[in-house]
Amino acid sequence: MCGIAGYINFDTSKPASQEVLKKMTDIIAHRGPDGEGFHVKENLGLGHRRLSIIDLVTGDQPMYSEDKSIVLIFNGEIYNYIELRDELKLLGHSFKTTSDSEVILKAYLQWGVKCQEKFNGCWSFAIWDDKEKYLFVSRDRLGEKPLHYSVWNNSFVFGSEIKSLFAYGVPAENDFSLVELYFFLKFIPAPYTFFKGIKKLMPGHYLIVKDGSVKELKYWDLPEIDESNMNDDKNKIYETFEFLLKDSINIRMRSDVPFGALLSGGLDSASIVALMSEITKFPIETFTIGYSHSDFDETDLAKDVADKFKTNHHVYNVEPETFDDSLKKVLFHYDEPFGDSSAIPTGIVSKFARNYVKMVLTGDGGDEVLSGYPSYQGVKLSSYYNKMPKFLRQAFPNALNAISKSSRGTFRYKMNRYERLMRSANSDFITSMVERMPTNDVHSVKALFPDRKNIYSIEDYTKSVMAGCTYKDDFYKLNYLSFKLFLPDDYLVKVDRMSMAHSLEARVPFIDYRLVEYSLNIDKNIKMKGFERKSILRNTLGKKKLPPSLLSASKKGFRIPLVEWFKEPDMKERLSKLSQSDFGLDKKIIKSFVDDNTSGSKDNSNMIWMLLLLQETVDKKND
Amino acid sequence: MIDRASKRILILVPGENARGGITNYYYSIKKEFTYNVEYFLRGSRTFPFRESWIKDILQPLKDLWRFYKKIRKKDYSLLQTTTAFDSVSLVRDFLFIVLARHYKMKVVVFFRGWDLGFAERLEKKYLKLFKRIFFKADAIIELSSEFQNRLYSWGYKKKVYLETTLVDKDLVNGLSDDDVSAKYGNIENLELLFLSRIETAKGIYETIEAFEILKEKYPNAKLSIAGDGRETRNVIKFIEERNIKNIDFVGHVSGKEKQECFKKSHLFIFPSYSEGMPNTVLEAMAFGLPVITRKVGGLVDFFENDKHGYFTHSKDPEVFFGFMDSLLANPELMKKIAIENHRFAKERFLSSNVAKRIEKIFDEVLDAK
Repeated sequence: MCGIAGYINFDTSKPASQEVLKKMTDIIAHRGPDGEGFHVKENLGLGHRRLSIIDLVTGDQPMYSEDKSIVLIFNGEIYNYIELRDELKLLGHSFKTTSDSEVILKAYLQWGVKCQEKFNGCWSFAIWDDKEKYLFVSRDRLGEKPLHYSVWNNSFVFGSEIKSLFAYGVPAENDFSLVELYFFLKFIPAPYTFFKGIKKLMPGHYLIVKDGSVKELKYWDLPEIDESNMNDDKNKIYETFEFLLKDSINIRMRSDVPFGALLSGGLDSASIVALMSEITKFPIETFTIGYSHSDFDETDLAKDVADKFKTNHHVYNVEPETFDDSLKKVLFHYDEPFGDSSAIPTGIVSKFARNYVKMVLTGDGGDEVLSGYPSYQGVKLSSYYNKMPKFLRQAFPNALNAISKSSRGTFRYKMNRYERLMRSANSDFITSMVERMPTNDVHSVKALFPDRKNIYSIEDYTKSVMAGCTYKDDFYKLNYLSFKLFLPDDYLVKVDRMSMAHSLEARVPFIDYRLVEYSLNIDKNIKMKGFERKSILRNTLGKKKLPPSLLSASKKGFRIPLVEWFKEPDMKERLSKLSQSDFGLDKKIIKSFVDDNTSGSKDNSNMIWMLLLLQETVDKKND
Repeated sequence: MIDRASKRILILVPGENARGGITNYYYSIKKEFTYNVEYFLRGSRTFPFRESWIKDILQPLKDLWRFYKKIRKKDYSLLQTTTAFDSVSLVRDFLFIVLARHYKMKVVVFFRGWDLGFAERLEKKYLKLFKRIFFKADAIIELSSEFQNRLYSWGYKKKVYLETTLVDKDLVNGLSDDDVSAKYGNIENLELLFLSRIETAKGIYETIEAFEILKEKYPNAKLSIAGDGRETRNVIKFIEERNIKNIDFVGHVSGKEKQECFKKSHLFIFPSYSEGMPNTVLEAMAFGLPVITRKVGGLVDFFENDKHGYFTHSKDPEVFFGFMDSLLANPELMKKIAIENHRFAKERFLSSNVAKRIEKIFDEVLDAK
């Protein structure tokens, strides 16, 4: 993959500068260390950093049409480029290279902006059409590749990462109205960024920049579903699912450089490796990171998979990074506060894999496509619970509360959890989702912002996301929310920035749009038989091909030593500074988070991590 | 053709007070040999028979002196050592090898149980020294192909034989397919068995944690822990602290008691961290028990998921619970595994068959120039 950046001055008499453009691309050189290219003409500048994966010789960018009237810069991969090239050849186009970039160019010549609908892949690209005099900027359907933009100082400025816009000169003016969203979600959701005037292009959308105006349009959305007639033909679903996943993997294995797979020890990545090993006769390079803390260590399960498919398996035992190293990396690569701490191990495994290969397939997106998160179990349980008479529904949580007060240890913890689940089952979808979002309880997070006048509330934001949702059942609504919010703005951002930080291309077969569209139409009882997570995967690849140990293991998350970090003596001063610093949040609440964490009475480490990231972002701006 | 009865063979085996797989192995196989085989008992296990530290230090010297006196008349044709791949065993046994070679005996080294960390260190620092002594052996016997390959990769030019441990023929005498599979028709109260030395590295805590999860779903399930070891007291404390019911400590078992343990159990669990070729697993198989274990030692060379039970690299108790749960959900599969394991073990691991293979190795070594 690559990095792109560019700008267009609305004042046509103001020429673009290659010097400025180079600054914008140099800052994202990690995304593409293999080369750079620029197109500077009149008021337009388009820049590109290249990481060569397909067509290593002739795939340089910017790429021009034969008459030079169309210019393309492109970040990503079009996986069905071979099929599209054949189709375009039949339509009379000829090709000089074997690259997917040229396919985009010719597809645009053939179909105009509708070409996006033809692509199966991950991308953000910009095409300058000199005849029509407009810039066409596109982002893939589900948000794998990023695109940030701003209209500033009478110019349209864009880039793969926000730092390119800063390099151009767009000011980093913090938008504090979004802090509640940040503390509930751990990230700033699209189309917003933490900086006023800088936006993220929404997945499935494109921009037309013409005559000083910027128009945002949609070319793809999640499909409508008919809930009275969901697909429940189990055998057909199993067959189609396997076919689509295998095809998705097959086209994602198109590469002219060595590649492998990240193998976590979970079902999703193991399934990817199982199918990859069927497609190629060569052993697959697989990569796993291990932890000293065995509760989070899945290396043994990954080894079971590696044994079974005879991969060249590489295991890296993680030495905990220092706090400062991790903080520095996250701040640099995400540009804005990004509180999902699993970004750190994702970075570590990417760096490790890059020592051996240039491209990897990952199992991300499996939980979305297969409705695999434990929250789906909660939603399903709630739907049964809500069928009970109202007086019982009110009595149960109170009874559990009484039992938990008179009990201890894990039993008390379990009772509390069931009580919370039952209470949230009594709420509407948005309220119950909001209750599940933050790492700490809703009230203490909300209390962080005493002045709520200009705060964009999490409820309002979630409502705005769900406004476009026509799904009725909470299970399907959760599907919608996952694809619209958590997948593009958390998981895919995490994977993109951390893999690109180490010049590693990460491909995500589970979110092939065909698989996504197909899965959204599957009945929830097929996706989750009883309360079994990922029933489709378990009953197809799981039972047929994977080692049995994988089907038995519980879901584990990435872990970084946050709790330990914040208890270290040299963190004392830093945390005390955090409690005293004034960045619009309630100091007493911050102090209580820190004190409770230090005393061990509560694990507030994730909250403190997010606070420190925010504080550093604010301080950086003030430097 | 070698006249086996005329050849005297000396095998180094652990002292008579020792308990465990190796001792059982030699006890069971001795009556099957057609060669004139003698055991040379050396050393002693530290648990539970340790008498004093001084005795422990002097013991190897006494052993060597006894050994010297035994072989100096050149009555023996071959020495077979039983050497664990760790620093203490290698240092101890190399002196026996040097002496044996001095008195023109052929030498076969039987490596049992690899300390992987030690092997790594040896590879980096002491490989030359190791090769100078042990690569003089006329043959090496190994329990797993992983270690067999490692010895070849270090440059051993003679043959490394792949062997197994064994199941005493008398232990399973008269046991039929029906005997081992009938109990899976209707399992009312599940009986789970752990039979080994009670040590952390044998996976005793993982066993208990997996059983704890199992009990949530099968409240009547019972776990029998057979064996003794250094960790016994801590294990009892661990169980008491967690208030886990239905765990029965049987203590060290042999003979009839051991037979009874295997016969009444439905599943065998053994999440050991490291092994050569665990006898206890082979015995459980011979009694038809589906086995839940880890990918250790020689097991990886023959064990198959769904055919013999389940095995994994993982130490996660939830994984072991998952294995048990999926077996319990499928009594027909348990029955099938029971018959398969019983037949497989009888064919491959019965003491009489193992003895034949070992004697063939002796034949080849003694026959070679």
